[in-house]
Amino acid sequence: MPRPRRHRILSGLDAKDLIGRANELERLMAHAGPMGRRRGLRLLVAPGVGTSELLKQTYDRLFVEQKEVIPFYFAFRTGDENVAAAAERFVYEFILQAVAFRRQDDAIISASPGLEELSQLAAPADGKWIDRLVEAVSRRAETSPRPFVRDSLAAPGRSSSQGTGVACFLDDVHNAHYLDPRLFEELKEVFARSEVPFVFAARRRFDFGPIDADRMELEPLSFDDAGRMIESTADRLDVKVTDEARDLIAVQLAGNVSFMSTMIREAAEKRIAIDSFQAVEQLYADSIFGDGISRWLDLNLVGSIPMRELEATIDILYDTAVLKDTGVTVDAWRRVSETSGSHSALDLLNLHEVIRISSNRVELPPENVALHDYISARYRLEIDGEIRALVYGESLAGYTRRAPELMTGFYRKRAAVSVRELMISFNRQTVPLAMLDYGRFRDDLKGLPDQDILRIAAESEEKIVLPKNFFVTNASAYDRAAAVELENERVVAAKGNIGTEEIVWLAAEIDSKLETSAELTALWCDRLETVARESGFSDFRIWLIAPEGFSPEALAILADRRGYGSSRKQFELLKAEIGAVKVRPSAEHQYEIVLPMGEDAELIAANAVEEIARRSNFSSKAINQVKTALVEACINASEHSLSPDQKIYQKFSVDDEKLSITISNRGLRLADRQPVESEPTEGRRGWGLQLMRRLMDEVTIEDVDDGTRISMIKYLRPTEPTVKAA
Amino acid sequence: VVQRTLKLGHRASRSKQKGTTYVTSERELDASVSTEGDTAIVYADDYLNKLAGEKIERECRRRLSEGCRRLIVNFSRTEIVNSIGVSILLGVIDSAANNGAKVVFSQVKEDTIELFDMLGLTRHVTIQN
Repeated sequence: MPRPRRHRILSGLDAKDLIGRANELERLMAHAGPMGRRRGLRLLVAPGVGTSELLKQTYDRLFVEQKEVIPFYFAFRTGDENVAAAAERFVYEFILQAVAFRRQDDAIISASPGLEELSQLAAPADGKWIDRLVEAVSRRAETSPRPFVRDSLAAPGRSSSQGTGVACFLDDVHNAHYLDPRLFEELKEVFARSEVPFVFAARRRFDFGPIDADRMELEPLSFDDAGRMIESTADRLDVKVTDEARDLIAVQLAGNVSFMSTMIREAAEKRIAIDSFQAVEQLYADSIFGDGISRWLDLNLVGSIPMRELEATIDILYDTAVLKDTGVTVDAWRRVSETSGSHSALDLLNLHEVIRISSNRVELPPENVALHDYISARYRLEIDGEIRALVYGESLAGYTRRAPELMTGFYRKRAAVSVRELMISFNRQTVPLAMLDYGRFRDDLKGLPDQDILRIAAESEEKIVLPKNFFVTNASAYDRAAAVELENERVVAAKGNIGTEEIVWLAAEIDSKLETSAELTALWCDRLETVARESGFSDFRIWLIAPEGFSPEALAILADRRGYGSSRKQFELLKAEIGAVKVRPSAEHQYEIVLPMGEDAELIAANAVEEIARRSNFSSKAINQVKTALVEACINASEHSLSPDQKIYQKFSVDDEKLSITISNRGLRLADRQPVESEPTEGRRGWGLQLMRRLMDEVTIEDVDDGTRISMIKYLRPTEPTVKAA
Repeated sequence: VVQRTLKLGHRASRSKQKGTTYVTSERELDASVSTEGDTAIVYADDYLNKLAGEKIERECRRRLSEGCRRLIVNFSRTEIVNSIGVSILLGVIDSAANNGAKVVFSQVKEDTIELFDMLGLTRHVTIQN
């Protein structure tokens, strides 16, 4: 019996290249594997998050790692001619995948044999039920559509009742609904009655109706995961991406896996490096105006709208984008977009998150930059009829100008996340007033060590009870007209209660190099009071946070407005006080040095690491050991590597527990190097690696694509061990 | 006492030598050797690398050929050593043994002794601090 190849069967990526989805993959495995619970799971997904790849990766693992449960993956398409065609494809795919799994031969799937051939290929134990399915499909023309559809959808359940376990991964089930709502209802009924564990994956705005199934969500990748995914894809496709370019792509495309992989693939096809903001935006513009990102958006836009309505829809989409503060009414949209069949274009655009409908208003999701750019480009080209070269040039210039602004906005958002997270942690804790009131903090505690501050503050009798917050969001969500002024993410509104009374805390982070002035404080109080008034908050509390606190005059203003003013230091201490973080988070500090080879440059590295280690309280002995190991690593990099750039790349990172060092060089890898016969003392050489291993706690030597990388770790200990004699 | 200053190292010396020191157009000289009877004292640089090791080796060989039977390598200024420098010192020890001479390492810092220990150097040489 052929063994399944331990690589991709349905998936498009190697398992190691599936980034940021480890938890979801494990949950799906647990749900559908041999030990899984016999019930359904709704997988609700944002567009472009890589759902199909995740399901296919799960399928591949089940195919290879176990023999009890037949994995079955099927994606519903709106392109199927009718319900019967979809059902026929469904049952064929099931037979195909079942035969391939039972024979443990994934090549059968890629060969796509006919039904008769599949019947012959079926394992002897499966012959009967597979023959029955094949026969049922063959008699499709003689069968009325409804029973045929029902029989087809029931195929996995029937095989399961024969004692053969099956796990079904049904992708894009919203398409089943939009193909024919009765198909989706039939699907639900059939699986509700069967014992087969199933996953129904659909757009997160899709209404499943009543269904007995667990729920799981798949969001766009986080910024960090998006960065890792970009690096992984670029590495696989041999595209150079700088850190700055990577971050811009991750931010601009908001973690959309489809968009990001499309851009990197385009760079690979064009053989260009993504090494600057300009390079990113050039690629991006090509993708918006060519058939990269735009093709993906076309599918969601054109696929949702009858062709006769396309022009009018682009027109109103553009208006909606331009009127971003107020949006366009649903009625205005309905006048443009006719009802088409049982569902409207408005519903489909909402499903695919091209638009967002709330309170009778339609708006474009502001975070989807690519969608805005795509609609703008199509409007100018197709509605306004502008010259393509002109639109392209102006758009590219605009994208390039916008890039630094996008990153600035992102940095601000990231900084503000900690305020939201802290306010979510408010849960009626009683905390010292000095944690919030900068005046008290400045007079009594400023300048003391953290532990002393916490102790003295704890002994203080002046306390405040925090509210129990139940909903924390950006204040701009309450006052869209003032969104820009509120700097979007830097102002947070937290709804909570104290006792039975509801209260809203409005918190803002203010930039100020010195103690914040009275004028700036008054301005922010005015802004937040406006938000409170416009939003109808009857009881609210203002909380301003500034890096260096507030001047006495500013504090007087805050007192008048019943607000609090805190320094960033107080903010961090408050986090520690209410258990949101440790007092001293294990913050990692990183340093990078690039040195030329030769000229005793390793001494520069040794001096640098000495200073770094000393700041982290490593003992003198440990420091000398690290220095010597580092010198050896540098010598290793320099000697015989034939490095083309003659550089040694060094990274040092320190946290509360350890010092990590990475030394990399281009050129010959360690494994490729030949012994140097002309070296008279070579017999006693080669001690470098031995020394590194003896002097450091961990040493890893890797041959990378174009050189060698040595990673070393030294742990921080109260008492450093003595090096043993050889 | 005959004193002779060697040209050692590419870097500027952190401390001046005892005895005569001269400066070439490119490098400051930072190691020296002295002899007394059949004993030669060679001063190692603050960084014992390949170049510094080779200079020590050359000077030791020269002193051995002149009849010295006791070589003292003084490490008072040596802050850091690398494996290449150490491997060259082993060559010095071999040469001395072949000439019936004894090698003594003096004023070696504790961390350096441990390193010599790790590489087996202390089995062949006397440490005198």
